[in-house]
Amino acid sequence: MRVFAMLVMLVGMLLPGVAAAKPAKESEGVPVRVIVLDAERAPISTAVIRHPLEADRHRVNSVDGSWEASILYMPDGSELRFTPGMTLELEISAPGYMTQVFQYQVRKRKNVVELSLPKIEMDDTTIEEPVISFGRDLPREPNEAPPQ
Amino acid sequence: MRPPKMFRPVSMAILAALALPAFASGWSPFENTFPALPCQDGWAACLVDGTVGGGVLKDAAGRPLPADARFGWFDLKATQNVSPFTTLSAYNGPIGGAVAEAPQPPPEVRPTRTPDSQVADTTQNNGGSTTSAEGGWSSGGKSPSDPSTGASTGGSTVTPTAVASNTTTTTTGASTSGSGMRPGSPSNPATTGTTTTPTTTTTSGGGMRPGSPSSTGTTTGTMAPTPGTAQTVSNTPPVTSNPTTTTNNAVVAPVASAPQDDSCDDLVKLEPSAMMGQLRVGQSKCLEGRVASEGQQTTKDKVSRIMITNAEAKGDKSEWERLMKRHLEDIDRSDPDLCFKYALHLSRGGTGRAQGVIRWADYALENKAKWSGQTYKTRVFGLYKLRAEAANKLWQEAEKEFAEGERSDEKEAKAAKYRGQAKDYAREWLDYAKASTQDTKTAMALCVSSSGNRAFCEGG
Repeated sequence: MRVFAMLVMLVGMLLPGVAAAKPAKESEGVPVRVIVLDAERAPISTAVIRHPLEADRHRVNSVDGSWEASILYMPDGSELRFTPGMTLELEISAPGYMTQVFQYQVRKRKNVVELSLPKIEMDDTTIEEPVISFGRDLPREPNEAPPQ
Repeated sequence: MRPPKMFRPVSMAILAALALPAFASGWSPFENTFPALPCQDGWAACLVDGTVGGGVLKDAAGRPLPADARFGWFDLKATQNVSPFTTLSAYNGPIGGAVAEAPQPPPEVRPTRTPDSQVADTTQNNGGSTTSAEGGWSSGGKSPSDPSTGASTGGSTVTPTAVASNTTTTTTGASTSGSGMRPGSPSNPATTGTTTTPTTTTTSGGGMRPGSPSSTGTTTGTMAPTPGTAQTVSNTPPVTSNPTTTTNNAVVAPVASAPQDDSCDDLVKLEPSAMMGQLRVGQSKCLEGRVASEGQQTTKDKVSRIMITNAEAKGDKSEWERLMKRHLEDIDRSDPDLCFKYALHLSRGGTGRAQGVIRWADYALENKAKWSGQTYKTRVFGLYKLRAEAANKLWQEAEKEFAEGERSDEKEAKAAKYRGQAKDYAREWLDYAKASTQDTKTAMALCVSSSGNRAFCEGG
């Protein structure tokens, strides 16, 4: 009798645990975290992330350069939930850096992506500098003969 | 028998070390082709028409050229420096201001006592009678007991026998004529002419101290003290230090420096100097005055251009920037070359100058029709590039300010505005690069970065 009581208590303790381990709702999606870094592995505070079909751009956290979401809202009113197995395409850009488009297959968990952007190299050595003229060229007189 | 393995690296290292000197050839084979000194003959100043020039030479029309120019700037005719393979010219001037060459001293003259000739007044003879010292310093500085000077003490009279040739090669002024000699230094009795009357034949010149005992001629026979000789001979003008060969009686005329012409009426004449950055201060002041007072805008433009060219050739960037800004702001901004050059200069500065870059690039683009052909293509491409890069700098700055500082709507709006500007300018640059078949890589990167949309940039 005593053994039966203990068994009932044990089952009673386990049941709430199973209830808590229920998977997240399908409407929430799986969170995906993107961290944008520069070539020196420092976070780029001004980076933005955007889905190709999306109108808005999402700024990263200016401290650690990260952005996290589990759902995106498209211009046509539809929702794009991140589900395991789907391929996600994002455009990462920042002023002064080359824009990169990357594709990522969403997993069930631990969706953390680090991406580094190369700088845009500005080179003004290719510009040929003009020479200043003295401005001595005068229009020819009307009665002057043209040069031979 | 093979050497042990441990010796192989050592022997390799020795071989490598021995091979090194073979490559270490000196510079000497190239010295003639690439001289270290600016002048073609190796000296710091150049020999032009037989005289040592002051750093420039002139072409057939009298226009100054750089000393090392081998061909004329204006007429492309060969100058005297056309051959780089000439050898060093002989140098016959004074070195380091010292006496170039002192004549050999005469054999020592031993005073002979002449008991009968007691006419010499030894009390007045402290240098009045000398053997030959030209400048007077030598004789006057001698100790009275020195028998070689002819001065005697204790009632002795000296009859010097050393006689010099009449004509000698001397370096006037600072050389043997006395100014270079110190009081008390040994005299050279053989450097001047031999005369029987110790009077006015002289080369004494500038080194003479008034009242110092001196004589010029070599006296023979009984010598009388001539304390006033210095006054009789000191009427020669001060001589220069140019080495000249003169006879004893020659007087070297002073070389008067010509007054510098600082006028600026003839602007064409000033152009060569301005191109070399060699306008004098007086000329620059004159030009500055003309810019301020000139009534015609076209003349102001010409004067200002000369000043800008001079500052650029001199490498005076701050002055160049000041003059260029004044020219574009106050005189004329219709020359796209000037606007382009100024925009390019500003683009090398920080973000604070980016607005200026955009402004002057816009002015240059307004007048781009003055260019043609390949010049048009490269200049317009460069202007679009400068403008897009400047806008990108401004956008970066605004985004950083917004992201890292305290966020506000104003800052966000400012960042968005600069982003839009950067996007427009990048797109214009990209479009022109595509149309003129020039490099589109950086333009595309900027466009995609600022628009955030590759399709926007790739679309026609």
